[in-house]
This record gives sequence, C-alpha cells and structure tokens, in this order.
Amino acid sequence: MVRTRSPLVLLGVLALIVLACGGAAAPTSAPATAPAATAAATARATAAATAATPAGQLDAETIAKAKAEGKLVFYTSLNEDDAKYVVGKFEAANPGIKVTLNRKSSEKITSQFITEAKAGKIIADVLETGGLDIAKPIKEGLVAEFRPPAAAAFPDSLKDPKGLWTAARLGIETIAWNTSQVKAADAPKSFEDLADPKWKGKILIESTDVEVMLALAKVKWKGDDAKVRDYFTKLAANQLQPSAGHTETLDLLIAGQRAVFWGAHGHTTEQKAKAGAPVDYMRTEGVLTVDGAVLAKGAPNPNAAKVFINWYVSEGGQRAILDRKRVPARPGIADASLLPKTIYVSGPEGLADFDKYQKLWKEILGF
Amino acid sequence: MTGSPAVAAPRTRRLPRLDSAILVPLGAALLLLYLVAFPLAMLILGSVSVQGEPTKGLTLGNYAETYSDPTTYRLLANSVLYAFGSSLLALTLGTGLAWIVERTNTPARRAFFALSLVPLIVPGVVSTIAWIFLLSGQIGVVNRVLMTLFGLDTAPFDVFSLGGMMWAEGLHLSPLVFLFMSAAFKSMDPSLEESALTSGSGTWRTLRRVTLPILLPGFASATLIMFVRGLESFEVPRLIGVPARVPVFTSTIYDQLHEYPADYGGAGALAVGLLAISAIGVWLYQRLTRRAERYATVTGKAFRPRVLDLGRWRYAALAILLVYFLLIIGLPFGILLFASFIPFYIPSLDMLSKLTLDNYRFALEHPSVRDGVRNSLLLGTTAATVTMALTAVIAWITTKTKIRGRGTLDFLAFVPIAIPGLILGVSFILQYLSPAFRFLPIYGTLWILVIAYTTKYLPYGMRTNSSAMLQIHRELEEASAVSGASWWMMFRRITLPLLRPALVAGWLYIFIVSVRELSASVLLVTSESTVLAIVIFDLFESGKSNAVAALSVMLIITLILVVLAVQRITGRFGIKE
Repeated sequence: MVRTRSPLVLLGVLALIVLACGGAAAPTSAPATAPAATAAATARATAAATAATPAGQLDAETIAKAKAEGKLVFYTSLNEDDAKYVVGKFEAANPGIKVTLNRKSSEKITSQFITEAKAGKIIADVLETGGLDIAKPIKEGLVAEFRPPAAAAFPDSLKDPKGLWTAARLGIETIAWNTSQVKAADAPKSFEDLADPKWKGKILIESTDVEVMLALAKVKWKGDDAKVRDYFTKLAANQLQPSAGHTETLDLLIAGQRAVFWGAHGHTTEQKAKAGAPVDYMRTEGVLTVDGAVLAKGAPNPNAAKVFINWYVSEGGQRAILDRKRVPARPGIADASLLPKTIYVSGPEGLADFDKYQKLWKEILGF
Repeated sequence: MTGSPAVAAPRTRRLPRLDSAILVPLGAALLLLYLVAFPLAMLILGSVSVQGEPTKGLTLGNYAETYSDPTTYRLLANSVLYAFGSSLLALTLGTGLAWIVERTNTPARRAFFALSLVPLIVPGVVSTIAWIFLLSGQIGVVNRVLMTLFGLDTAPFDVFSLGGMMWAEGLHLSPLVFLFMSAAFKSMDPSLEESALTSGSGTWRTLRRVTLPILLPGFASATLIMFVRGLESFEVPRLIGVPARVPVFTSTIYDQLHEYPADYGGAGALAVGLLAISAIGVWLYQRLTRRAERYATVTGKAFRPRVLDLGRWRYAALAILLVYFLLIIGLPFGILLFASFIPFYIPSLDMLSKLTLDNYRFALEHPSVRDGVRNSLLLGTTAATVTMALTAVIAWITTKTKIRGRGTLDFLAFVPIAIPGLILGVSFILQYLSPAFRFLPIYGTLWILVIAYTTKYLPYGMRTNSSAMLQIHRELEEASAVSGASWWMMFRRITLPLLRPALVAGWLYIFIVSVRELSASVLLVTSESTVLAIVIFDLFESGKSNAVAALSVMLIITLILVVLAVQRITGRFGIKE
C-alpha cells in the first residue's frame, strides 16, 4: 500500500511547501510552483523524519508511565464515527491504554474544556479541535507545552513555536457550486470571481464564516485591508443570501436554492458529490483551517496523553484520518486531489485579529 | 360540620397529618429553590461581570452597552412581533383543534390526538428545513406547484420573511397549545354552557360569556408560554431569520455565545431582559387569575364533561381536521419521508429513480443511535415524572394557599424559560464540578441531565398544573380534610386524580421535548451518556441530513405509538364520554 502512493507523496510534498510558505506566521501565499530548491529541501526533511522512526518516538520512561496510567480522556470535534475509528486504531496500536471519548462541535467542546477547568477540575487529557477554538484555552493558560517528536518535521505553520499545539488535521473552506446550474467551464476559479456581477443573486454564504475572511485578509492579501474591503464590498453588491450552518447551506445548494456557496467545506461537499449529488468545489484556491491537538495542563493522565498525541500526528494516526476521507495535517499523507492548488492557512494565531475582521464582516455584509 | 377552610390546619392533631401538610410542600419549595437558584445566580452574576466572568471584575457595562445600543430595541421589536405572530397562529390552531377533538362529536377525532403532536417530536432543524423546501421562492415545492397550476410568474410564498418565520414557528408551537387546551377542555363542566344555552343565550354569546372566561387560566397559561417560547425560539430565527435578515433576540444571544471570546456578559444582559419580560408575564397571569374560585369548575357535584353534538356540522369539523393535517402535518412530513428514501434532496421527481433504504439502514445500525434512544427514553420518562410531580405540589402552594412568597415561587418556577440552554449548561458544569458540590458526583452521568431537564421544563409543568389546579374547587379538598384524611392522602387521592388531564398533557410535552433537548445537553453529555438529540445533531452536522430524515420518520412513528399507549393507560381513569 505504502509503495503505490508515490504520486501522492510528490503532491503531498508540494502541498507541504505551500503550507510552509502559506503559514500565517509567515503570511505569504505561494502558488503550487514553488522554487525547486525548497521542494528538495522539504522532501529531504520529510524523508529524514519518516526514515529515522526512533526519532519520532517518545522516550521509554514516558511510554512506561503511560502504560501505568492505562487510560486517557480525549476531547475532539471529529464527528462521532470518525472519532471512534481513530480511537479504535490508537487502542489497537497501543494496547493497555484505554481512551474515553467526548466529541462535540468545535466551540462546544472548547467551552466544556474551559468551563471544567474554571470549575476547578481537569477531566480531559487531550483536546483536539479547530484552530481558533484551540487558541482560547491556550490564551487562558490551560494548555501544557508538549512537542511531539513525531511532528518534528512539521513546518512552522503546522505547529506552535512554543510547543503548545500541533496540527492534526486540516479543513478546506472554498467555493462550491451546483453542477446542474453551473457548467464546469463557468465555475469560479478564484474567490475574486464571485465579485463579478454575473453572480448577482446566485450566491449563498454561511453567515458567520469570518475565519475565511480572516485567512484571505492575512495570507492572500497579506494584511492589505483596502483589498479586503474592496473585495467584500463587491461581493456584498451581488446580493448574497446569508444562511446558517455549513451543512444546512450545502443542502440548500444541492436543492438548487442558489448556484454557488461561498465558504463551503471541502470535506462534506466531496462526501455529497460521492453520493451523487450535483456539487463540486473549487480546486484552484482555498482556505485551510488547522485543527490542533493540545495537552491539557494538569491532565490526569499526562503520559498517556503524550503517547496519544504523538501517535495521532505520526504516520499511523494520520493514516486513520485519511481513511475517513479527511485531510491529515502531516505533510505527504493528504489525498492531494482534495486540496486546492493555492492554499491560505488559518491557524490558532488568527484569534488575535478575529475581532477586527468580525467587525468588518458585519459592517460590509450586514449580517 | 364546620369545615376548616385552611387545608394546612387539620382538625385533629395526629402527627403524620401535620407532617405531610408541611413537609411535602416545604420540601418541594426547597427543591425548586435548589434547582433554580444556582443557574439564576450565575446568569445574573455573569451579566454584571467583565466578559461574563466574575473573576475579571464586576461591571454594569454589559447592561449599558446592550441597552444603549439602538439595535437592541430593533431586535426587541422584531422579537416581539415574531413572538406575537407565531403565538397567535399557535393559539388559534391549537385551541381550535383541542375544541374539536375534546368537546365535539366529530368522527375519528381521537385518532388526531396523537397525530397533532407530530410537529413536537421532529427536531427543529429538520422541520424548519422542511418548510424551506416547501415554501422557498426558488425551490419550494408548494410554490412550484401553484405556479404551474395557475400559470404564475412569481412564487406566491417567500419563506424567508417575517411571515415565513411566524408560520414555521407557530406551527411548531401549536401542539403545545393543543395539549394545554385539551387538558383545560377536559376539566370543564359543560353544565355551565348547557345552562347558558337553555336560558336563551345564543351559541356565540355562550362561547364568549361562559366558555372563554372559564378557559381563561388555561388560555392565559398557554399564551404566556407561547409568547416567551416565541421570544426564545432558536431554530427558526437561525435558519429562516438569517436569510430573511430578520435578526431577533435569541439569534443575537447565540451569536454572542459563539463569538471569540464568548460574550457571556452581553448574552447574560440580554437574557435578563428576557427574564424581565417573563416576570411581567407571570405577574399579569397572577393578576388575571387572582380570584381562583371564579375558574373552579371541578366541584363536589357530579361532573362529567360531555361532548357537544355538532349535528351535520361534524362533517365540516372533520373536513377542517383533514385539511389541517394534510397541509400542516402532511406536507412537511411528506418532504421528510421523501428525503428519508433518497441519498440527497433535490425537488425533482427524477429522484424517484434513486430511492434507497440506506438512510434507514445507516440509522438503525449506528451504535450511538441505540444508546441515544435508550438514554433519551429513560431521561424523558424520569424528567417528565419528576417535573410534573414537583410542580403539582408547587402549583398547589401557589393556588390553594395564601402563604406569603407564593408569587415568588410561581415566578421562580418560570425563570428557567428565560435562561438560554447554553448558559444553563455552563452553570451546571460550574455548579457540579465546584468543590462544594463534589459530594454529588453526577457530572458526566445521566443524573445531571435529569436535573438539567427538570430545571429547564419546570415552567411547562408549572403552567399546566397551576391552570388546572385553578379549575379544582376547594370544597373537594375541604371535604377530604373534614373526613379526616391527611394532607398527603388528600393530595394523592383527590388533587392528583383531578389533575390527571393536565398531568398527562404536561408529562407528554416534557417527555417529548426532553427527547429533543439540545442546547443544555450539549455541554453535559459525554460519549458514554449521549442522548438522541445530540446524536441527531452530530449526524446532521457531519452531512448526514438524509439519515436524520429517516431517524425523524422513525421518531414520529415511535411517538405516535407512545402517545397511543399513554392514552390507553390513562384512558382507563380518564373522562368517559
């Protein structure tokens, strides 16, 4: 199985370069045609990380203590089926460590994590969820430093320089369209395309998708707010139909309520398309949201938690994510056919500017 | 015979009597206080704290910011208009249906009792989307059919409007009015109407002067709940209000709770406003029903509500029932049924070539669905029973005694209706994880959900019970006290049986909405203690909307079976025709 994926490895390496260059820490978007030198360097780094497997492992002491703890509590925003699948793979790979799962939508699981800590009791050992949500417990000082050895080769946009979070999976947010209403040739190729008046009255938008605006502003337009303002003003002139919830909006798109959906999730769109629904999404450009894993400060089972996180970001854990048709963060593993060519990464550090762009969003779009 | 008017002062001095007359009501009042005090304190404290967190300092800024902002008043105006429109629709439909089903000899009316509860069980998100699929200007099936039939150029309905919101919400609420009002109709003495009719008063006059005034407590209860429910409703403002660009109170509270950082302070200040409106409502209700004797139709005299013979009009009533059920329940159910047999929804008959049982297979084989169903049934039954029992005693205190503070008690029991579910969830975590409550290790178990649901549904139990309690005349209790029964014996043997229609109605309602409860549970369940509503929400969020449609269809069928069973069981004791 591993042998047959060489084209994927190549594409994955390309994706890695884009990620490395596109990180919000170094806010430059890079097209897929990155300099060859960088590509080679990154490829070497990846190869080194995968070849020297002992380097990606935790020390024997931690593993022994983890075995003694024998359990851990995992809070995640993965949906139930996927989370159970991942936990099953972990338990199979690490006999003797039992995982208790708690899954909820991103902001809910984060609220629960924070509220429990504030009430004075740490229940979760590991929290894994959306980047902007992960930033909240970090800001509250509820996260312990941990640099999983398996993520040593991750680019800077996929792990925290202070070692507080490590990317585990990625979410694609882009433009989706109803293929019965939009011919392939007419489909949007960039976010700017939807500013064209020919899309007037044809656009659905999830009414709270500030994160996409944030990533475009910081990475695509490198903080040039005049460009942001200009784009969103033109977009708003196209009589957007706001809608609540990504799933609900996607269902409306499929049913034909409007022709395109600004800010659609690649993962669910692909799922529906596989089931035969008339939808597709833009592969030329997209925002990548980062879901990070963190170790809870004061975790009841810190060593088991470390073993879990390290496994999760290692090849084994990331393949489990891939098996569920999701996008693993570990470079070189993601199914490249799902990833847009040019990507703008939105990580936890975006929280600092969230408020500003939320105000701009409300001001220009009016919802 | 010198009947003692005060039930709490028995004539003989046997201890157990004194005990139960004081201990049970006192215990119930304390329990109520326990359930409500912490969440209420949390809400108020949060609303005067910086960012909703007392540790960050106290402030009145949240109120200043919220109530000096003109948008708040625009929201309030939208909310009130929306709540008013949807409650008017719900009250009209619910009361009319209840009257036909309970008080007339319309053929096959009994079959409609269970059917009329269908809109209650369907998850809000599903029924709202069903209405969008029916009435959207672009894809609405009803619009398309009407446009083809009548050659119209534009769609006659636009669901994305204030009217569309009122319609979807009003229909969603109408079963609650139906339950309330059918209980009120059941406890009504038709001899009053008959005497009015025989003494020459016309039908309308009788209705206006006799029937409606007698129904006042039930109707006022329903109106109160309806209005506040309309103010705090969530799915319709989110799914229809957002595209219609009609923001209301609750969609704003929701936004504030989901911002970065969550603005518990601002949300708290808005929720306290909602609480103030509710308080006015409760106060009005108390004033309106102050003279309890006026509504006491259940007296010591032989009492048998009889049905009204509509003559030939009964077929007209049947026609109304049929139209109602075809349009209001049949249409969205039809969409749901269609969606449950196809992989994804498109309003086209071409989809008939894609019919599949996959959604049902998926739903039935999903392990969490089984756990969720088991837990939800267990929780629904427990919460409904506990809430109805507790509020029956509280309602007795507020309507049958003159104890000082009974008005406060009535208000306290209504408070949870104004606390957003999410804030309730947060306050439960803070309460049961705090060192002071560690002796009750219920966090992460189903018990915390029992407590949460009981708290959340106190208002519904309280309103059904207290309006029904007003209909029971004091002379029955006095008679039992005179004949030497203890308070407990009186309550158990006289009051509760007379309350039965209200108890059944309230129980069914709480049972059904507990199974659907989402906002408070979402922070309190773990994967081990998951409930059905959470499983459905999870499936929905991960894009399995058609599997959710299949689950909803199965839920509706289960609900109808449960209601029929409850009807059979309680029918044995119920009112004969």
